[in-house]
Amino acid sequence: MTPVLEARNLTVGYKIPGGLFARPQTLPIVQEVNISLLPGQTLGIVGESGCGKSTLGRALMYLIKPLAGEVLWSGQNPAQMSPEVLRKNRAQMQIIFQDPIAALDPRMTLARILSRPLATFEPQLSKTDVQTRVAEALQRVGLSPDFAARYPHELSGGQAQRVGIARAIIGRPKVIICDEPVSALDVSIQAQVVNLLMDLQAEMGLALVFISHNLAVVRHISHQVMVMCLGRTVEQAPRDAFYARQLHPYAAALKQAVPEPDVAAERLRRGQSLPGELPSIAHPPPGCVFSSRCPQAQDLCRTARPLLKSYGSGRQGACHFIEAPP
Amino acid sequence: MDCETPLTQMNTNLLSLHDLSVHFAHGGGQTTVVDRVSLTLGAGEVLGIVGESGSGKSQLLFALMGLLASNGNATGHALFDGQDLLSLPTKALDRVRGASLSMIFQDPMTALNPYKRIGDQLAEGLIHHQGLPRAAALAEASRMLDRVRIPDAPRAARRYPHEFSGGMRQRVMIAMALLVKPKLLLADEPTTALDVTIQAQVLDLMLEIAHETGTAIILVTHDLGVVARICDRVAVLYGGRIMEEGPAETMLSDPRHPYARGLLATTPRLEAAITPRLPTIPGAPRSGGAMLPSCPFAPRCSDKMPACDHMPPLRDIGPERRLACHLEPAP
Repeated sequence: MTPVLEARNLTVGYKIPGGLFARPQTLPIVQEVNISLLPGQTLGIVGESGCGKSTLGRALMYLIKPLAGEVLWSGQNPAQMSPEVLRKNRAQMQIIFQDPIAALDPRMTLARILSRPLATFEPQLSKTDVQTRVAEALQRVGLSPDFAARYPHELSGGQAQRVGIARAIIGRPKVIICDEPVSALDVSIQAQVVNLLMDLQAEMGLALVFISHNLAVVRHISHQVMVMCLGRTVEQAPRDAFYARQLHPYAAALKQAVPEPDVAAERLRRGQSLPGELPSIAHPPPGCVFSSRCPQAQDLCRTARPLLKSYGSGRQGACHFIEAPP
Repeated sequence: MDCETPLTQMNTNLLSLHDLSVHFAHGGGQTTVVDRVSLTLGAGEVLGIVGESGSGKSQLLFALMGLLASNGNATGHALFDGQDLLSLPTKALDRVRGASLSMIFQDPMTALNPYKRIGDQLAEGLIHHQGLPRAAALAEASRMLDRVRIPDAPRAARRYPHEFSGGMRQRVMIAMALLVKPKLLLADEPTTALDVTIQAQVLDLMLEIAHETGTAIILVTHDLGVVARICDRVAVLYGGRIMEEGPAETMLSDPRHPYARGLLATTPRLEAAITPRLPTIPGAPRSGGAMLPSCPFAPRCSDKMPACDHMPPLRDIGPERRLACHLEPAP
């Protein structure tokens, strides 16, 4: 099966304009990332703020052009498409955002918001067809069709995120990039939205990229998990293997830091937090990206950057001191 | 109005809330966001107040701090250290706020003055409330910054808030709030905007220093994991009312209220078995509206019964545990 989404040695960065004495330069944010996603599968991307996970999401949408490497949509490279072909192909890639209300134009009714992708990707549709598709999309995300006449400010956060999802699925995409889709929602609503995404995946064979800082949420929805630190993949593994044992000390530290509603377990974790902060992505350390905070760091870690290596059963890790899993 | 806590219990506690309500006037109407909350807090105790958006959890803290918006008004009593915070004149309240009551917020940037050096902002409280000379106050500020593990504290004290990362700013806030060794720290979602590893650091630090200074904490949060990490007791708030209250340990292992049980079940876990669907609470949290005679959770409750048209009182159901639900028969 052809993966619906691939990244090969993808490096993405931003240009920093020069000044009177400073030369313009390019700051790489995401470096040498490899991804392969099959239909119906979810890749969870986990990392802390500034690790490049949102930039990676936008690069996978080809909203940012890569500095090096390539993105492939069902085997096709968007960089080699003519503008017209690229525009048509964008229908297969959709994105939903963290702040669901900010992602919707406040002056448009939901009917207009939802019909915009159809106007772009399927301009041949009649007005009635568009209305039917809008009603269908609303129902699919659990909203009644009479929401079509409403405006974004009339929605709760959970309803607004459902509208964001309806807008993403209305053009029948193959992949949805979900950029922190539940972290702004109340706990009782988060679970509803995660369930909805999983239902839609099963019905439509969607592939999802689920970007989140929350390892507990990622665990429920993902088939594969990728941990990023300062723009690089430090670990990638099938879900169950990853949660059973993390190869990279940063991945282990992230999991350890998630507070769980279990008093006995949490009391034991008191005072065990990892000291320090990650260095700025503008000044990455010469060695391992995690060396400044890693409890196991040795001299080697501060001078030589460990490469991402395979450890069997689809597992990869980038640490000098990984013991091969049994 | 029902009196839910006997007045005689109130004097042994650092803080006793008695039928505390918060109303907001708007248009020609009134919205009640906190509805007859009664709670007590002992010296040095850490109480978590858990709720979703619209539960009134932040407004409860604002009411204690005298920080309600101009159309807001708090009724009831909040006895703190022998004085009723709700009826204190502004000057007297200022003395309490600077010396024995501090607050930290979710976004430290809104609470820090962007034009003033961190050290000066910290020293201010000591100069005004404890009458320390400026040099001594600055030295103390720098010592406290070091205590919250801000690297190179003497130099950091000369920096401005924008020069710090989010996690560092929150540590600066903690330093500022605990510098005067308050008896009570009100913390409104202090770690929600932080990364998990930084959240763990900040929670550790808050608890450590509070233990040193003997400060009690009321921590408002939506995260039951955070409650488990640092709280002794927890109160679950919904639609402005306390649904259940008790020791963190028994509340999280054996919640009784359908809402508390739902919250716990919907919290995604790292260890529990993976189910095809996450458990959910149907519907959305209640937002605004007039005070209801019924239980505010009833429209979302799977155990709803006719009796729920009347909000049950909060009553004792076990050691230190209180519940407001018709489900549980009286012991």
